[in-house]
Amino acid sequence: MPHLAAAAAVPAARPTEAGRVAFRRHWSTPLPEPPRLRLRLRTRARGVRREDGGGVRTEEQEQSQTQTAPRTFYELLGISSRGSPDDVRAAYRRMALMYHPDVSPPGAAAENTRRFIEVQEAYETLSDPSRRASYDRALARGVCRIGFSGRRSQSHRAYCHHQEQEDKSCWRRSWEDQVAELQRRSMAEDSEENLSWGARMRRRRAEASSAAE
Amino acid sequence: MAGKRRHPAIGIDLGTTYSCIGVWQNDRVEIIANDQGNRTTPSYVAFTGSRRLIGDAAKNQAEMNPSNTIFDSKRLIGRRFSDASVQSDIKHWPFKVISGPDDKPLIVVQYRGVEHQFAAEEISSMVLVKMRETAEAYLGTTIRDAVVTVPACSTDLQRQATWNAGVLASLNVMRIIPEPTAAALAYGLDRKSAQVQGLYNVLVFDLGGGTFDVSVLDKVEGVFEVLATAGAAHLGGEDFDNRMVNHFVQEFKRKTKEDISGNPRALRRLRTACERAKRTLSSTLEATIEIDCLYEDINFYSTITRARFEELNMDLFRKCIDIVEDCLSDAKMDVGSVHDVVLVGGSSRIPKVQQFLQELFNGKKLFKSINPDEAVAYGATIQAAIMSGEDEIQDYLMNDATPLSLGLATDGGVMTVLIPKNATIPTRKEVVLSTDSDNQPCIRIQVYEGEGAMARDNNLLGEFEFSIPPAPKGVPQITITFHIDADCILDVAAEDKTTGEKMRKTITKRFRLKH
Repeated sequence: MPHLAAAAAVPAARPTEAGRVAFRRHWSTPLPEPPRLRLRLRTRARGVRREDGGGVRTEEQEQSQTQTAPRTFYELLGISSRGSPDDVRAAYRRMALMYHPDVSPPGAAAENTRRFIEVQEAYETLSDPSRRASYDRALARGVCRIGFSGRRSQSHRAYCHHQEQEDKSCWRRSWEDQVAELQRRSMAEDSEENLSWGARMRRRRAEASSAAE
Repeated sequence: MAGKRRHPAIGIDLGTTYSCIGVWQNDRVEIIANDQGNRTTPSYVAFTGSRRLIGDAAKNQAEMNPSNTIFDSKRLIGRRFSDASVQSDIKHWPFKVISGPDDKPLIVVQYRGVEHQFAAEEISSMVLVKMRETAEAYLGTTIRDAVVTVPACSTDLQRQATWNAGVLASLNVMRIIPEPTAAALAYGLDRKSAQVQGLYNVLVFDLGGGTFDVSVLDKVEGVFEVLATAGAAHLGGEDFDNRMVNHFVQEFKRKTKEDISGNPRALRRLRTACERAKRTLSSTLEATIEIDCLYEDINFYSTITRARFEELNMDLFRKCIDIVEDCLSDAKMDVGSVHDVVLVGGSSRIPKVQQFLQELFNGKKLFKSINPDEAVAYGATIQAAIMSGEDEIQDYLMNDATPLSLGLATDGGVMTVLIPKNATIPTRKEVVLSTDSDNQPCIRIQVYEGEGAMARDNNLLGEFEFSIPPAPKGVPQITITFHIDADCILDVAAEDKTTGEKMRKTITKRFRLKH
């Protein structure tokens, strides 16, 4: 397959500013939903869990899990939003004693490892004063929460119906960027960079002839 | 993981110079003595014309068989022959080390009249077999499950090789844990602070025969967490012995005009005497060296004072203290915040070392309740009990941490860290990357381990390529996820959310015995 610009060696990927910004994106509070929409969301959530390898759960378990799943780091750690740093640390250690794989029954180790990582992320955020302040401001603005990096798509599909729109928005922005890039390069058609090797040689030969005259 | 087991689990301190083994029995740790009645066993393997010896027997005949008596295999495990530290070590060893396939160091011995070549993990596995058999003899039952220790700053390759040594020894290695972490567990169980509520900060000072490790941990509600770790892979009792050996080689030369530095048998005898003298100097101010027929028919008698010994090693002692300060700095802690300083490893008994440490901590009394030679095995046994679901040990847990930073090679070969050193494990982190040239057909994911700012200064753990559709540079959004589980096994996944394409690779290799 011919490329406009062939790399001599496959270079390493580089981090993007967009990626960093995206990493910190917030989600808005979900609007009240009509019953039909709610039912559809629940169905999708069940599908996600099945893909995770969990067994099919009963409706009751589904409802119970949805209701009790924590929405904020504070709820995850089981403390009040005014908890002191000591409260945060003690809560985190108590949670570790419940979810660390070393103290988990063999069958629950995988699920508990995921929970442990969530608890750890909550602890890291709330035990750093500046990160906690940022998090609290986000909560105050009515944002669901700063997403868990490891489970963002799953958790937000259950709670924020705007997630899908957000995904589409990301894709659209990406596509629009590509179109803009292509347009920019077509307008710069005169640039030697865009020409094939043969075209560049012919142009140089022509310019050399002109110069010679 | 948790759950009652049919056979008891053991903890093994696989040390550079000595190893030690413990078992959880009668709701406490029992350190097991070997067939010589010793609670620590030399990490020595010897090969003779008729048989192989391990432990005390191997060390006891070292003087007569220096080129076929192997020690320090831990210094080779998980390393390359071309490593600077390996090349430096080889000069001190009487046995032969050559370069094998893939730059792997191999130890050459004469065994039953035939030349054999062994990898370091094979030698270490022989020591582990000896430890396992010692435990089986004591318990009267088969042993399979074990927690084995490594130095705190071990690389992934060193941990993997140690794991492999355990597998070769027919052990199911439940976990590889760092030595100071194990010692902290021992401290925590022994200390009355187990009943104290609130925050407790502990500094573990682990100065063994071969390596030096410092860890700062805190303990809240029965859960330890590693805050920072530092150390030196080549700092310990053997280095102090070397200084004494060099000192006496020079003295012998002054007295007799003979140079014994090229004589393995003489050096072995001198080293043994120096090690014994060093121990004596921890409790007396002077020690004697008496070796008959050290070289040809020349006897060697001499003395050394504690002050002289300290003078010979002062720079090494100060280096230990510098590393302690670095570790406290990494943990963002001052000396006043540390509640206890726990001494681990035989060399932590050296009076000048203890004096420097006490001075650093403003005269604080050092924690010495646990035998420093046994603390690591004691803690490894506690970890084994935790993972076995022992009732008496519930509400007790160690949150371990990554020993080195993990990241990717990105733009221009820069190391982009996803999981920093001392991050609590298990953990998961992700980053979004893109391309740096137009229509790039794929990106290469190169996973590195280490603290260097440039990837090439670190250890390459693994790599793979991830195909993407053509697009202008900077447009693709590739999410890279690092996941480390409690066994320090690293999984790396790449996903292009635009196309939904995914790829993942397990970077860390671990093999388990089939039962």
